[in-house]
Amino acid sequence: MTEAVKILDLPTSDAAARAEHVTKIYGEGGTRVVALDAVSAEFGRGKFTAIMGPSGSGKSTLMHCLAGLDSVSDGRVFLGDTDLTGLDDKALTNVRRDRVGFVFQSFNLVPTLTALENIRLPLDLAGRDPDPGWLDTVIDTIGLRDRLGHRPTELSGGQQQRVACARAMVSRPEVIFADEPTGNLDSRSSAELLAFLRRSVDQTGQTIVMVTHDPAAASYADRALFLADGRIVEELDNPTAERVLDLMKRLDVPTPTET
Amino acid sequence: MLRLALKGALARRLRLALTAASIVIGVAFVSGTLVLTDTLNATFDNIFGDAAKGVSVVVRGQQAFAGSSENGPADERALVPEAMLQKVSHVPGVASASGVADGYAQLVYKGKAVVNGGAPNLGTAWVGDVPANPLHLVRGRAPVAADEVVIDEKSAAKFHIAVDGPVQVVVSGRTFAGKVVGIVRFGSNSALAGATVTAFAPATAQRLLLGTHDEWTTVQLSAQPGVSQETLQQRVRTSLSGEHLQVLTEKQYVQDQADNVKSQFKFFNVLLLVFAFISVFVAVFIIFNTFTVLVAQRTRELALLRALGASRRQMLSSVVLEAGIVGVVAGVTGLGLGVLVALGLRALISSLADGLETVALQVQMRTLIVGMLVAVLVTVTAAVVPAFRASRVPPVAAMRDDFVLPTASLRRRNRIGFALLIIGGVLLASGVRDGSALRIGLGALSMFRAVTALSPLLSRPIVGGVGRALPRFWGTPGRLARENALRNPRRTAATASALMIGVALTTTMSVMAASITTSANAAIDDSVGADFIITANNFAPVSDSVASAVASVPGVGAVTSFRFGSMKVGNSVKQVQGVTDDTVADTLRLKVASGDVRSIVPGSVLVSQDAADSHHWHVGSPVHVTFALTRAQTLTIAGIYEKNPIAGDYMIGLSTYDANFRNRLDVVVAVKAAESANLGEVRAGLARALKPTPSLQLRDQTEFKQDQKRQINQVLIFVLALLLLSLVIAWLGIVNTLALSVFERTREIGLLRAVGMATRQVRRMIRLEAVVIALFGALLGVLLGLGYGAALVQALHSQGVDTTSIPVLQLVGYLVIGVLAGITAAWWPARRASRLDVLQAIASE
Ligand SMILES: Nc1ncnc2c1ncn2[C@@H]1O[C@H](COP(=O)(O)OP(=O)(O)O)[C@@H](O)[C@H]1O
Ligand SMILES: [Mg+2]
Repeated sequence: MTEAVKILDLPTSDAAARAEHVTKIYGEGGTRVVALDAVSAEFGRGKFTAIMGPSGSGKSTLMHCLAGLDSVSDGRVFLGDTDLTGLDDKALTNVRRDRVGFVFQSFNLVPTLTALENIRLPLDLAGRDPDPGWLDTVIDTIGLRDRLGHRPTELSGGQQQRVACARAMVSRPEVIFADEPTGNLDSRSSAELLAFLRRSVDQTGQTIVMVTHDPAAASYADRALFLADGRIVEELDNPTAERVLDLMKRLDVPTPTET
Repeated sequence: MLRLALKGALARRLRLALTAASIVIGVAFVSGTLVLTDTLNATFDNIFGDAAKGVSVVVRGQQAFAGSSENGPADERALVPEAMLQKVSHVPGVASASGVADGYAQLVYKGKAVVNGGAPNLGTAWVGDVPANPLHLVRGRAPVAADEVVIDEKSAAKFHIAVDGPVQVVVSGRTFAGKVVGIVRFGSNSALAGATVTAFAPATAQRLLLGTHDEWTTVQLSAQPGVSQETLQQRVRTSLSGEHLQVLTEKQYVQDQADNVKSQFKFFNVLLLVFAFISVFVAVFIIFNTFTVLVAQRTRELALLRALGASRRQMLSSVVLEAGIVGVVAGVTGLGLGVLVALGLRALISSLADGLETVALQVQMRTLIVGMLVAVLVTVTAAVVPAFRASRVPPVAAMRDDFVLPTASLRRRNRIGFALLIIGGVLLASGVRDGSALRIGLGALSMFRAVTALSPLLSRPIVGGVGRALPRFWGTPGRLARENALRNPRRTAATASALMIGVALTTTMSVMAASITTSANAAIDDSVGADFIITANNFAPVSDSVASAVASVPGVGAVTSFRFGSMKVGNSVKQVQGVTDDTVADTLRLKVASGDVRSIVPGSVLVSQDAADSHHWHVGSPVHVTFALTRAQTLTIAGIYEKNPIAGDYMIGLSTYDANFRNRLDVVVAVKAAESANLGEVRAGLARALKPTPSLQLRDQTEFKQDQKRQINQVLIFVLALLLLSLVIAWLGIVNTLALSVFERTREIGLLRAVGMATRQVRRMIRLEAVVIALFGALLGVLLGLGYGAALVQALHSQGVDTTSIPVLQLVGYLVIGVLAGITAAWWPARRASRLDVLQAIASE
């Protein structure tokens, strides 16, 4: 099966995730929305990619499709060598559990569980014991060892988001998808979180795909993709905040005010 | 996953505790009933074991069939001749043989009848110093002379009767003066299930209780050491072969006696269990509702778990597990409460049957298992559908604010509802026509399901209609309350349905009770010709001396004794009434269809038109019957009367009755005054004649009717009290649903508060919503109950319930109760809602 896929997907790329002519259509008739319009993109292994674009441009939709959270209307989505478009719910569940990690903008943690329990949740769901060395590493990188027994409501937004990142990393996923992880954070917490993500890419070779509309956030990435009306309109390597802002002005994107 | 479920349950403990409470009541009810049943059974085993202590083998007469105790005295047997006693006393291995003479003996002391509620008044023989004697002297000495008696400790204490006290004893056929020479205790207990005991010297007992001098009720044998019950039984059987006698070991005898009494409690136990299961049924709705709401509220959390890799199966099992935890907690609590319930019921029974000292409460393994099973299975079953829904939450829902769980379409639900309604209606109608309880039950059940299925549909017009008044009286809070009740028709419907069950059953019972009362009154008017009716408390037996005493009162025209018994016609056991041969036409208004009912000559029988029709009998037809005592007999039909609820289907003359039954006790004595007599004077005369038998009640027709009504109402109140529990459970359900809704609408309430709604208005809004929902449930319940009640009355037509009467005032009362239930249920949720911190509420996720 994997062999066959490989033969089909010439040339074999080093991409951790890949979209091929992905189209996503919501609704029918009058309410029909083309959220993604034949999008093709590759996300390199060990790379930190930012997906940018105005609100409603299809950033979240692309991410959901890449991560197997949502089905595509047309085209194909690969995680490594696996074609996600043909998988049933059971197989997708396994993919989510073992091969990808998520960080969302809000509502990231299960309110009834402590921080540590939240971090271990994917492993508990899979019924696996954590690799103790790795769990320690992850906890140390987020720097919340003394708050592990706390409930989400007892943590600040930045701390909650760091716990969410730790949870995303704990199962050593191939790709971590983050949808506006800093959207609800103040600039200082944002900077801490982004630095943390950057470190995990540099030090452990983690692949990260992050949706954001904040140029400062995008500057932490290795590459930025720009979406507009469900199409990829531009790419930037090693983006800086200024270059992203310039590009956004050029693309006539209303630059975000402080959120 | 287990941890997640546990933590989740812990975090939602308040909501789940409320849910658990609904099933706790049902479990307590179920387990309490089981504990009580076991305790009573053990008590009777104990009592009869005590009575037969020291006995190895019992010899008694045979029976053609076992009569039903509902028909009258069930234990109709031939006596054992003295010659048989002599014979078996020489069987090797017999240490001692004694004759027992049991019968009716009512003690009267200082003009008061020594009675204990409706418990039997037992007369027996003092069998002397043999191990088989269950009576032990505590004071005085044994009875020797014909006027000497010993009486039980309890009665002596209760009526302050001392040794040497002069007493009167009413036995079958006569009243005589006697003297108490001793006080006895029964077995290790002091009482025989509350019965009063009067013991005579053996020959006296034979003469007074059995009307013979050389026969016994039973013969009891004690074995010599080393001879087993079974061995002795075999030897006695051999020596008595050819005689129509039954030889039982002590074990068999005790079993038989205890079973007899237990079967009389069985009805009570089954009744309690039925109501216990109604409570459980109501709880199912509430649990289902709660879990549905909980799952809906946790959509995002569940989706997050799915996004993190939880499988559908894990989602399903996490909700089921949570339900399981609730079930286990509820089971343990319910079992604990059940023991308390049993204690209460035991106290109730003890006070009804004073002196029934039960053994310690019997909590058997079976009770624990059944209780836990009911709790866990019911909770889990009710949560399965919501759990399944939880497993269908797609992972993207975690990221969308506006995701709503898809539900099965209401159109399909309505279609199923209408189909069920039609099926139920047809079943009910055909069940009523053919008198099939099964079809009536199934019909009622499916109608009920139909109404629950249709209630979301009904909620729009009814809740909307009822709610239309709200804005007029209560302004914006009223309007919002109405909208809130309409907002989620399924939830409103499920909450209302729980209340509907209780109200529907309550209404059914009320309609039935009212109809039975009306019909009974009409029946008494139509069919009782007597001016006065004499009975004992609870229709306990009355000595036949009463009828003869009454007959000689001046101004009395006719006196009829009514006795009852079982008779086999073909293969079915029927009730037969024995009535005074030539007066029944005076005291009962019999409408003669054919033949003559004025005088029932020996060997003849009067039958109802119904019985005659179904057997194709005519006047003069032979009727082949079997009596327990005298076996196959042939009676001739003397007359056929139209259906008469008091006369029943078969009446024989007392001469025929006495020839075929050992029982000589009346249940009712009816008196018709002579044409010219002054009723007041006759009544005074009757009262004087009844002086020696003070436990009897003398009533005229009006009083008798009132008494019947009072008895029907007593049953109704008892049943309503049991139904009250299901109402309490439904009430808890309303509390729970409201609390959940308030929680769900935290932001919205915060917003309302922010734009200026006063706390008082918030409370009013919640309260009105509760009232609307409760009223909706009560209304559906009353309507459904009216239908059921009318159907059941129709089904009871052949039993003489021929008028449907609707107790309008009671039904209005139930609606008012519904409103009150809503108001009170809203108290706590409303308080919570009004205390929300505005800023926090708005900021909350
Ligand atoms: N579940 C949905 N149903 C219908 N339309 C949707 C749904 N989700 C997203 N859309 C539409 O698809 C487009 C892209 O949405 P999204 O990917 O959320 O944009 P972004 O994340 O870039 O703001 C928008 O026009 C949005 O309205
Ligand atoms: Mg988005």
